[in-house]
Amino acid sequence: MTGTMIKRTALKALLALMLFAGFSAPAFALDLETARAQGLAGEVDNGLLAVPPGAGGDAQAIIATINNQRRAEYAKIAAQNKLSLDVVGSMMFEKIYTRLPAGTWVQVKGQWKKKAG
Amino acid sequence: MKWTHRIVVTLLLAVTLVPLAAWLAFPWYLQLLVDRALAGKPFHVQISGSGIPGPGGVGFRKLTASFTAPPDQCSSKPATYRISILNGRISWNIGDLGALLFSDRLQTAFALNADSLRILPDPESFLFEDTHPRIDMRLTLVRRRGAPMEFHPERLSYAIRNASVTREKLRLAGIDYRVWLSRAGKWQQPPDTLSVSKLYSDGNPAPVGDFRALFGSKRDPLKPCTLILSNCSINLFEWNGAAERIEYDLREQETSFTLKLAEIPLNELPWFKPAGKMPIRGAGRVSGSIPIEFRDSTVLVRNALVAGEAGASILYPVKNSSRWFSLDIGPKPGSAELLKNLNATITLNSRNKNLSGLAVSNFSAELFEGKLQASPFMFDPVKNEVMLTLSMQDIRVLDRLNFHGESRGAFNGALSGTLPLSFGKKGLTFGRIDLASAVTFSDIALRDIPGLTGGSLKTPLAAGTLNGTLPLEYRNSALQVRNGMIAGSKSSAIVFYDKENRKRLSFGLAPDAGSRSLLRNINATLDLDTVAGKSKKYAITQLSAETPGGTLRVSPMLFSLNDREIPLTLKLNNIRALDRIRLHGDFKGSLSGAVSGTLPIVLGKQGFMIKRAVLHSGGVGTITVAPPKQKRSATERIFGAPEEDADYSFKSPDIILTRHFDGKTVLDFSLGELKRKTRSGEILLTSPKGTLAMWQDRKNPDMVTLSDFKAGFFDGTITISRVDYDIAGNKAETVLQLNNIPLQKLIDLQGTKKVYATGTVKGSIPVKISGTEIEIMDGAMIAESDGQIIYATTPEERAAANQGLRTTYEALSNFLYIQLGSSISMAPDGKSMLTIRLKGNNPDFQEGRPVELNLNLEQNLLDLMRSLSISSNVEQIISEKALQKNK
Repeated sequence: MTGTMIKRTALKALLALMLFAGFSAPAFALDLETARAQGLAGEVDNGLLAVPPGAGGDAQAIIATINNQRRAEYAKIAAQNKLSLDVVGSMMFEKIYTRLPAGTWVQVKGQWKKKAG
Repeated sequence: MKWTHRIVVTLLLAVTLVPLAAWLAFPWYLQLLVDRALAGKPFHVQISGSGIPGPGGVGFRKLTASFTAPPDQCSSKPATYRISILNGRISWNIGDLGALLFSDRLQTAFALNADSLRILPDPESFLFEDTHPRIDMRLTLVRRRGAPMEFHPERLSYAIRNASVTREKLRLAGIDYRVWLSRAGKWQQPPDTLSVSKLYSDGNPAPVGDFRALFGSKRDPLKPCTLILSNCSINLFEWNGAAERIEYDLREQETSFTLKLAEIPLNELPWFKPAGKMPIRGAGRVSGSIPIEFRDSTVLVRNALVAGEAGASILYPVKNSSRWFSLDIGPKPGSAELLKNLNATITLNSRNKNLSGLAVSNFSAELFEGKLQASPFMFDPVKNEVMLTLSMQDIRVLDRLNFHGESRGAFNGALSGTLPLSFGKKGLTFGRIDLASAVTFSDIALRDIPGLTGGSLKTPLAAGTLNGTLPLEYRNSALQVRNGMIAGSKSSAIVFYDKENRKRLSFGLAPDAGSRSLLRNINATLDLDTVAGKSKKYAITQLSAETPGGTLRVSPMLFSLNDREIPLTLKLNNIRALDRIRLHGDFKGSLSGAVSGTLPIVLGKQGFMIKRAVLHSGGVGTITVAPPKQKRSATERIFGAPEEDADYSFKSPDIILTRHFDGKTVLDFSLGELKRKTRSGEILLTSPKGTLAMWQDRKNPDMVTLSDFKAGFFDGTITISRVDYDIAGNKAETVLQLNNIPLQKLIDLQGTKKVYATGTVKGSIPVKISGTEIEIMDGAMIAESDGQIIYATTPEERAAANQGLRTTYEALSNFLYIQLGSSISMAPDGKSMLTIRLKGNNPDFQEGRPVELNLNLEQNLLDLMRSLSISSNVEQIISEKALQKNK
């Protein structure tokens, strides 16, 4: 019980650290912050990005690339902590969510909405 | 001398000529003689056309005699009888004439033969006719001195043979009786048997005959005016009636007696004769007694009764000895007699000229505890027709009706109504029938219902019995059922068997928690003969019933029994039918849900066809397929493969069903979903649909063809364009087409938790099923787009790995493939070869240079699929396989 607690706390610390360090994203015409701000990309509760409703495919390439990176990272964490990718992804989403500016598209339990201010 | 000689000659001539003249003149003075002989007597005889008598007799053309009987204590008026005899001859035997010279007595015998003899009384009440009669008479001639010769009759005998008596339109024919009157017998007729073989009414035979009775003229001194007939018997409608004694009051012209119908075997009655055309037979005997009063040509029947002996019954039909109806007519508690209190007034030979024959009025009886009455009716001998209206009230005939099939079914119910009928040359015909009866039946075996009889193995058989109530009304040529009910017994079901006669599927008909009855509120209207013409037409104008949860309706239809095809459309609305389906054998299942739709059926001489039945259901079901379990040791159970029970569950089945007369059946189906669940996981097919064709080939009835099958499978689709499946051999060969299948789902199916993938694959997998073996031949799958594969390892794993493996781990930590190809084949024993070709790069590995990976997985796929813990296998396999790096 306590062991799991400690483990979870450690994991959260690791995730937080990862966020501050930032993903090593290659140079894109459109960066993630801009795409999210323009409503071309949204955060999904599995820790990945997706195209929100009504948006065109302009951010498709960056979404795919970032998702691949995120998956690789999540998989690493999952393997180290003997968790599934989905669990890591949803924990990651919670962290990402706190840092999102208001008005960003988020998808929770299949429903798209804009983060309230 | 000459003179004397002349005188002598003249005298001699006179002596000879006078008798000759007298002889020759006999016809002229015969009448005189007779008149003289009968002077002062109540006889008068007239002879005409008599011939010249011969030595032994004399002939005549006509003899009429009249005899007047004076009024006596038995009749107030004198009665005169006129007797006429045509073309007769009286012959005699005078005996020794010479003896008369010495004696004053002479015995003579006379015999009268004639062509015909008629007796006509005045007042005219009847006419007696006899042909070729012979009457014998003995007379004694008595001569006294000084007195004319006297005739003393000694004996008269007349054997009547085949004579007839006619009274207006009634004629008694074939009368036999022997008249024997003698001085010694004091001129009393001794008892002799009178028999009358037939009664005709206006020339037509009446159903009464073979009358026999013993009687003579001697009267009971206490009842001087009573004619007593004894040992009487009569044939009435082929029933033998008997009366020990009939007393006929001559003065009042009346009689009363009881006719006993004793122990008549039913199969001797005309309708029940074994050789008869009717398919009904009688068993046992009936007996009865009919008290009859006769007066003024009127027969009164008072409280007659007919009772069957224990076990007496009427059977229908007799040809098929395994199933038949019986109508029990023996005594029952509370109703000992079949027919009792039968009263009727029968007027013979009614005075009205139009109404000759028989007129029956005031007919009433108690039949099977109910009341039977008839309107006054006449038997018209000219038309040979009887028309009457029977009215019935609570005749509990159905209480006595049984059905003998697989079980003994019983009926209950009373019949009430009116039944106008006429019986004549055309046979029995009915007028406007108005009948009502609430028929209750119980314990009718389902297997006795046509169509459920079974016989060959492929026909559905049934188990259990049915009971119910059908309140029937027949009025204005329409048969109506109002608020009927039918329920099945506890174990009742329709059962489908397989080729080996094993129970496969059954449809329960038993009452369940939701409803006591199978069908209730049954309402039907069947119009008969609605269209004039030779072929009788029937019209179902209404047929509906409530079933558990829903309603069943048959659309209005018109048909004739001669129709080659009778179309019928059933409309099902929300019928809870799936709950009643049970699976047997290797299959187990629980289904539930209601069925709605239209079921157009065409009934033909050779079976039935279904024209695009559209049925849909929101129901759900689970079918568990549990192959026969082989005995395994404990070790095998622990370490061997888990048992292969598979649950198939489906949702919302919709079908379109077409069946031809020859049995060819095509079923278009679509389901909400179909799920296969085993211990090793589940496969979900969403919205599966396809076409099943069954019984297309008579020679190969086990072949089922599935075509145009398409279902959602892991967000993608699986399609089968055609597969011929041999149910008996469990043989099939087809190609599974997969499209748009997420790679991750296929990996998840393998049970591993360390491999993540994106992208979808498509491919075709040829599959061959034979018995329990499955073979995959050169299945090929390719990725539909590029994607990512991640094989996640921990730093510890990587540290522990050797150099080659560590490189592989690193490459696969974030592999972005641009090409993915896979080929798979599996031998019947489960040994499989899976080849995966990957082309792509890992941006984090060796600066993202292109990498090509070839993985060959050789393993027992069946074992793999049976096991949940295959990820370790995969790891091991990956470890062992060579990692080829593209330069």
